[in-house]
Amino acid sequence: MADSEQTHSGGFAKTTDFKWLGIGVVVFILIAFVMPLPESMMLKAEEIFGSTGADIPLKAHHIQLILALLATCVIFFATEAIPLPAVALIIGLVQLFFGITEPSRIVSTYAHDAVWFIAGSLALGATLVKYGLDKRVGMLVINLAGTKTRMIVIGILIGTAIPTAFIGEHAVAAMYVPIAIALYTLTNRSTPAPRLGTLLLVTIAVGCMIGGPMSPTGGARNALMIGFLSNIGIEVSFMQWVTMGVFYTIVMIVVMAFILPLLFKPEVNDLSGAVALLKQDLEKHGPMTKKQISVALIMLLVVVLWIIDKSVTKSILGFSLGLGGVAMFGVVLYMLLGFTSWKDYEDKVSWGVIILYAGCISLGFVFKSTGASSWFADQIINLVAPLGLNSGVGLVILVGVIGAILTNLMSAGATVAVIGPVVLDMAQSSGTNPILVGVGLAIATSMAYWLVIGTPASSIVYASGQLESKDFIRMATLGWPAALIVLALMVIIYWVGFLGINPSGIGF
Amino acid sequence: METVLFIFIIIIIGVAFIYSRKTKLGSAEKQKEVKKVEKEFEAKEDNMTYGQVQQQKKNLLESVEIHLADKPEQVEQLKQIINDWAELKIKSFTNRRSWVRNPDKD
Repeated sequence: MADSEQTHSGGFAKTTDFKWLGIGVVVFILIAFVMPLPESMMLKAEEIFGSTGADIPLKAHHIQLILALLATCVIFFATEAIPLPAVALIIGLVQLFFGITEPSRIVSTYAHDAVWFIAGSLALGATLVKYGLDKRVGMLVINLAGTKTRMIVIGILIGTAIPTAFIGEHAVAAMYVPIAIALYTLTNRSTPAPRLGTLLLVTIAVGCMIGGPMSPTGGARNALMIGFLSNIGIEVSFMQWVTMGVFYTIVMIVVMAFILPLLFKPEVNDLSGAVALLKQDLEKHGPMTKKQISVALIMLLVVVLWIIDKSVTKSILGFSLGLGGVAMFGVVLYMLLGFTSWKDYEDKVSWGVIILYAGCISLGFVFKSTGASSWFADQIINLVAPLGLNSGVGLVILVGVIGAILTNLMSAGATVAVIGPVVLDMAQSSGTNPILVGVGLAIATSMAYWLVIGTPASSIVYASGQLESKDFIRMATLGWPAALIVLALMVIIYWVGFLGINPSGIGF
Repeated sequence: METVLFIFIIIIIGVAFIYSRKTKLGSAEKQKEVKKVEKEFEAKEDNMTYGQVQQQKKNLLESVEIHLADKPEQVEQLKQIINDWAELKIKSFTNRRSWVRNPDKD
C-alpha cells in the first residue's frame, strides 16, 4: 500500500520530543478549558442532541474537546513529537477520560473494514515484494520502453505508477533507483549527463506520487476516505474508485512526460548503449519462477474479487465481502499455500501504520458523533460562502487545493484523517455529493511535490545523492499547478460530465 | 479573548509545520550525506571483479606452492588464507551491486 509513508519517517522510530509534547498539551488545555465555549457550539449541540434530552452544555463541551484533540493531533502529526501509533491510542484515551464515548464502545470506534483493508493491502504488498514481482515490472519497463530518453521517461512513469497502486511506494522507488542509476552511470561514462540522472530520478518520485490515486490500494489515505464515506452511508467499490481515479493517473503521466524532459533537458536523447548493457544484466535474472507466477496469480485473483465484490460476489453470497475481507482472504491464502509465514508479515508489515490509521478512523467517528465536524464545517462554509466556493464543483476544487497544500505540510494520510470528516460534513450540509469531495481530497493529497520529504519515494530518490532540493521545487513549480488543473478538469469534465456523477446527489 | 487564542493556536500550528519541515529536511540531508560517504569509501576500495579475483587467487596459490614446496604445513595455512581472502573479495564485490546487476538479490 502506497501510503506507508510513515514507515520511512521518524514518527515510528523516534521517542518523545518533550518540547513539542508540552506545546501540544498546552494547546489542548487552551482550546478545551481556557477558551470560552462559543455560542455556536451550544447551538450546534442543541441542533444535534436537542431532541434526545441530552445535557446540551456537556455535549457542546465535547465538541470543544474534540477540536482541542484535533489541534493537538495536527501538532503531533506534523512534529512527530511522540511515536505516531501513540497518537492513535491517545485519541481513544481522550474519549475515555473525558466521557465522550462510552468505555464499552471505544474499541469499536477503531474497528472498520478500512483498517482490515489497510492491514491486508500492506501484507499483500509485502508478499509481492518478497517474491521480487516489483522488480519484474521494472524489467518489463526496460524491455518495452525502447532506447529513446523520452520513451524511457514514459516507461518509468507508467512502470512506477501502476505498481504504486498496489505496493508501497517506498518499495517501488527503492526498486527503480538502481535502474535509473545504472542507466545514468552507463551513459555518463561516454557522455557526461548529470541532467539525465536528475530527470530519471525525479521521474521515479513523480511516478510514485501519481500512481496512488488510481486504486483504493494506492494509499492508506484512500482506504481512510472509503472508511469515512462508509460512515456516512456511502459505499465506494474498488471498481468505482478505479473508474474515478484512473483518469488522473493517465492524464498526469501524459502531462509529466511532457513537463519533466522540458524542465530537466537531458544531454542525450538516445540511451541505446546503456539500455543494451542493462538488458544484459537483467537477462541474468532468468524467466519468472513458478512461485512468482503463483504469487502473481493469487494477487490477480484478489484484484478480480475486489472488482466483482459488489456485483457477482454479492449476487452469489447475498452480501459483499468488503475491500478488507477480500484483502484478508488473499493474505491468508498466501499463508495457507506456504508462500509466506507469519514471521514475514511480522517483519515486513508496519503494524504501527495500521494502529495509526485505526486511530484516524476513531478520530473520524468521534468527530462525527459529537457534532464537531459539523460545527467546523459550518465555520468554513460561512467563511468561503462569499467566494461562491461553499457548494458544488467550487467546493470540490477548494477542498482539492486545501488538501494539496496540507499534504506538503503533513503526510497524506494525516491530511485525510484531519480534514476528511470536516469536508464530508461540508459536502453534506451544502448539498454537494460527498463522493466528489471525498475522492477529490484523497487524490489531492497525492500532490506532495514541493519537498524532498514530501513522500517516502521522494526521500529515497533524494538519498541517492543525484538530486538537490531545488530540483523538487523546480519540478513542483510546474507540476503542482498542473496537477491541480488536472484535478479540476477531471471533476468537471470526467466525473460530472462523462461519468455522470450528480454534484448535488449522494454517492456514485 | 477568543480571537486572540485562535490566532495564537494558528501561529503555534504554523510554527509546528515549519519546525517539522526543517527537522525532516535536516535528516534527509544527513541520509544523503551518509550515502555519499559510503559511495566515496567504496570508490576508494580496491575493487576486483569475480574473474580478477579468481586470476589473482590462482597466481598466489601457484606462487606459494613453488616457493614453499618444502614447507607443506605453511603452504596449507597460506592456501586457506588466500581462499578466505578471495571469498571476502567476491562477497564485497557482489554486495556493492544493486539488484539490477546481482540476481542473487532478486
